[in-house]
Amino acid sequence: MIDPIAALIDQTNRFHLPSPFDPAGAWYKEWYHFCLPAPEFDLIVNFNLSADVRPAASPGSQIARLVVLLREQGGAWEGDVDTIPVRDVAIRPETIDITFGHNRVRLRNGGFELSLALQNRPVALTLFLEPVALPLLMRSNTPVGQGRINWIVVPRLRAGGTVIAGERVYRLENCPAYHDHNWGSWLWGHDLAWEWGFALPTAGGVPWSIVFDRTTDRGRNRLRELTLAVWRGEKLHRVFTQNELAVQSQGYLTGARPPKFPRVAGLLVPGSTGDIPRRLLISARQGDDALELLFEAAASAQIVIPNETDLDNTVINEVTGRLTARGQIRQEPLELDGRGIFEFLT
Amino acid sequence: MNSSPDLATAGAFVRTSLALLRQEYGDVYFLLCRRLAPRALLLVIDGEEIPLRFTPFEIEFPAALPRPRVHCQTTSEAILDVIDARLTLNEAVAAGRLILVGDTADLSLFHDGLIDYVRGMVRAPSAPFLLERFRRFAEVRPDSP
Repeated sequence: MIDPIAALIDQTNRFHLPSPFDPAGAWYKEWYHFCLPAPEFDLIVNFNLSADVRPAASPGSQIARLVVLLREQGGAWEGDVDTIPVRDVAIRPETIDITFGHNRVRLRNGGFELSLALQNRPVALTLFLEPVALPLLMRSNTPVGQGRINWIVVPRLRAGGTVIAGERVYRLENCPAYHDHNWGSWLWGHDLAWEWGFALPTAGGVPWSIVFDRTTDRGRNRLRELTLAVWRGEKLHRVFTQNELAVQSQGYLTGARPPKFPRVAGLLVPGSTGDIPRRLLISARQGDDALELLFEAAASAQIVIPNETDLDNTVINEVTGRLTARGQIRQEPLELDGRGIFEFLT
Repeated sequence: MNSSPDLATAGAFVRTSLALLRQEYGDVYFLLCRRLAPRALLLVIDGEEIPLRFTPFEIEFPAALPRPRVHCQTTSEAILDVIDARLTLNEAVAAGRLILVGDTADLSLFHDGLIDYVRGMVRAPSAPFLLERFRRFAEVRPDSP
């Protein structure tokens, strides 16, 4: 019997490789993103393919990168950004099956099989992630800068397998996980910013999963997208949008300078965490439905992307922390105490 | 970069990387020239002297420099430690692994020039291959001064 969630993901979540005749292909970007807020660590994995717009690149060429960030509880971030030669990249358009060198993600037996090993850092893993909630198209051709972005989320998966970090080997079972898939066309350096994040409960038996997104211009003056989606079990339960939501930042994350990935970017972005809120409060209200969320940032790492429009950089702050949610939806109380990973693009 | 010239010395890497920058991200190469001309830099890596002279449109490699405005001495190991973020630039200076001599204004300009260079190299498609060669080169270097 075919798992209906996996079947839906298989139909909706394939790569959208641009046609050579598509003018938007020059700005093409696409990635699969996985996050595991495991009890012993936080893990972020990103298989990333984009048009190569560097002046010396051949016209129509693409660049593939694998981003892996891992932070053991109380420890430092480990990880890297590996660039994969395009000759070692294979993407099957008729299904979900992506190979970046020796790294692979594919949909098989009702879930994502993920295996990877960084080239120069001691992180490797093999995981099976079974989706347990239905996907949602959170952004659909949303304007970003002078381009567009699409974003499908699978808010909740169950992960099992092995993660190796340095000399430690972690065996996972029923570990909460999150997945999304982004694609579109824009240039890094365009007038865009986003804040998004997800939360999954720490305790078993809690049915709620939450995903938040705010997409704006770089100055955060012009709102492009504002959405809070709540799943109950496998089904999407409630979506709050636009003026049903109020978002407030409090304080900023202090402490050690966040590590940069790739590491050489430390020369280019020597700054601190001043742009990352310590707390993010999200209030949702519509009719009798109301929800209060509090994300408390704990640790951060920065992915630094050289702009494609100038010599500056775009910094994606990956922030781990705790999230609590309290409220009522459809006359049912909602309580969630969990962990989340938020992303602040600056 | 597979057909690159013999990369047997630190100076060969510096010359090749600047040629690569000129070829693959010329805007930054010329920005570097404009920023640093008409100054000269004596770079010393693992004891090997690498004189560089900046003109408005080119970087030259004279055999010697009578009066370099800035003297920069380091090791291939320290360079990789900074690239791999085991060490910040400030820490490298404080630890004596990067020795800079020059007046403050020139040092500040050369710091900005270094950042320009990095900005260009992170956008140069061939740079990762050259860096990989440099790692292998540094592995087999004898302990440097």
